[in-house]
Amino acid sequence: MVLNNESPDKPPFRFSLRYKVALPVLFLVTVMMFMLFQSTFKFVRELVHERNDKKLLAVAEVFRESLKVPLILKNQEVLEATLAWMASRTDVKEVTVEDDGGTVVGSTAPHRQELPKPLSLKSFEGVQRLSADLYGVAVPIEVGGRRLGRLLIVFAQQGLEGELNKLFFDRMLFAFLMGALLAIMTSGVTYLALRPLFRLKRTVQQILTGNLEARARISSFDEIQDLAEAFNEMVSRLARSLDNLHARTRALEESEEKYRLIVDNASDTIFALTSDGEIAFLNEGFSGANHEEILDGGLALFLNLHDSESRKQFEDALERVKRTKESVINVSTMHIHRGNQKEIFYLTNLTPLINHEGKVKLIQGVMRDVTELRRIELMKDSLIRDVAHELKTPTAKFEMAVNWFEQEKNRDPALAKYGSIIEMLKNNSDRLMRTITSIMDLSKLESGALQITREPLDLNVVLTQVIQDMEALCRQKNLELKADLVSEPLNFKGDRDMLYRLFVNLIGNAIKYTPQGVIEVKSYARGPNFFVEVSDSGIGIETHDLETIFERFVQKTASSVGIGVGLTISRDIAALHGAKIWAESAGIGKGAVFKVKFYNA
Amino acid sequence: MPQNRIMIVEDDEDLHVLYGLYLQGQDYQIMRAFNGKQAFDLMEKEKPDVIILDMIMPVMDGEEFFTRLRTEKKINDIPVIIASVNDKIPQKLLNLGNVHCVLKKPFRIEALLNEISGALSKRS
Repeated sequence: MVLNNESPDKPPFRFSLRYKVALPVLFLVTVMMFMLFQSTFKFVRELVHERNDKKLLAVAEVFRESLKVPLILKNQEVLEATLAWMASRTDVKEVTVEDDGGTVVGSTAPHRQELPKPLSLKSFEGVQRLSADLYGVAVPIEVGGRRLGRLLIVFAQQGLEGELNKLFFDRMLFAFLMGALLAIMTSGVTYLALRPLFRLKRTVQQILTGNLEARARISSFDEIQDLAEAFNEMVSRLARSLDNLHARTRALEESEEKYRLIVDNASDTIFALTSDGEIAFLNEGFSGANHEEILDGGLALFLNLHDSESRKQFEDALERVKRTKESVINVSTMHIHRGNQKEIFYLTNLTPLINHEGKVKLIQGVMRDVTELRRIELMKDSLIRDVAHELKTPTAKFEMAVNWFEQEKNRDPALAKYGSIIEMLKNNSDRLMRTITSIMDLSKLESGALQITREPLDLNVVLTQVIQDMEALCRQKNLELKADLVSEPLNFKGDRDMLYRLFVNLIGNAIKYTPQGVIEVKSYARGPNFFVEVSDSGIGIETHDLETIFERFVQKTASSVGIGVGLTISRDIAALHGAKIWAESAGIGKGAVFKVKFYNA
Repeated sequence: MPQNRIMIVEDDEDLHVLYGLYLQGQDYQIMRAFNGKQAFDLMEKEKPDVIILDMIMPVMDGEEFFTRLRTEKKINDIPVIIASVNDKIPQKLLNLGNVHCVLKKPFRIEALLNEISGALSKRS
């Protein structure tokens, strides 16, 4: 059982739950800290700048006072000296004085750059940040309400902004480290919480390797324990089901083994063909071809093992099974053994296996080797034929002798007293001769060697002759023989003697099985076909006997006279003429009708 | 009128007895042969008027006898009644001519006598 179809040397990508929890913590904490610090430092910076501005303004106001006198006096020299003194402070970069009109009256930077607005506007007062380290401060110089001009000082305050940033980044780094620490802790805690899950995983692996006894022993007092207990229960139940399944599978295997042995060792060849013509099953080889050969060769070889005529019969039978969805039994086929070239005879029964859709899924066949049976059958036939033949000559002589006696009796009145015994001898020798002739005729018919002459004749004429000849026999038994023949001639090509024999047998049979009443012979035409019917009011035939009565040596009653070949001969004669013969009866005591249908093609 | 000679070619002794009984009281001279060869030997001395021929015999059977009979000049005109248990006689044999009829054994006395007189009358 393979549950994991990934190759073991390349483990699939996994991302532990631990990190799934810890990384968002790290991220969230960092972002939150950043935002918190950001707003705090913005406020702090503003505060620092405000105080710085006030400080710078205060310095500028102090400087302004010292400039009032030189300005009032317009003493350029003192002014310059004062400015130089001011610029001597380390944090002052340059000092400039403008008069009321905005004209520069003194500056420590002779080539100073133009100051940006609004600092450069003569009305501006206050602090303006020029760059990260430079601050421009402008204060008006007024004496007694009169504006003398403006003092502009550029302060260079190195590091203020840098220090602020450094402070900020230090705190930020600290916050990040705290976040990282928190993430690691989260990861650890998660790991501790998940630890029972790893145990469960190990248990699963143990079970996968086949140890169905493995159980997850977890006491985490949480959902994982619930899961583990449910899991254990599930495994227990599955294991029990698996045990049941194993037991049942074993039973099934044993049963299958038993049936397989029975089928494989059956003396008959058993096969199954799909409706597409494939061999789905075959228990053994046949006709000198072994099992594998036939399975490899498929239906083609299967059919080729048949003699050509048998093959056709077999294929017809298969077609019939497919079409009618009913079994076809006793398909008689002949094979030539591939090894010793001997003839093998098979009787095959074909049975359709119908699926739930009502279609023929498989055709199952049982093929029985009847070669030996057939040999015995042939032996029996030949024995019967030989015995009959052997009996014929003595019987003929016997009959001729009786004939002479009869003649003598008629001539010599002294012999009249032997009349009854001569009559008995005559009747019995006649009967013996008829029996022998029937058997011999039958074996000729059955051997297939008989050629029939096909001469044009009128069936009615033959029937009239038969009726005429049979009348005496009917009279003897007090039976009425009625004829109802169609007035038109029934022109047919056939063997006159044989057809005579066919009808004689039918009427003779009717006489034999009719203790009293009527025998009626009818003939009529239906379309191109002719029908001859012989009906009687006799003992009738049971439905299941309607076909078997035509078989050789079959007698309806044990006590009846004859050996049961008359109907068989009739059937064979009908077959030779391409005609169909069958019997109908309403049952015992209800009489019977024998019908012959001549196809006048 | 001299007696008509009837030759019976038949290997079965019983049948010779029966033929004897059947033809008893008739004005025929009977010649008996048990096979075709004997029949030819007999015909060296006397020529029969009718031959009753069985088909299955030892030494020389009916078919061979009849075939040879039809090649012998002096005797090839003798009518032959074939008497056999088997009524199917090969057509090529019948085609050789002068087969008066085929009598299927067993036959009745009247049938035999009728056929013999028929054969004789046709000849004379």
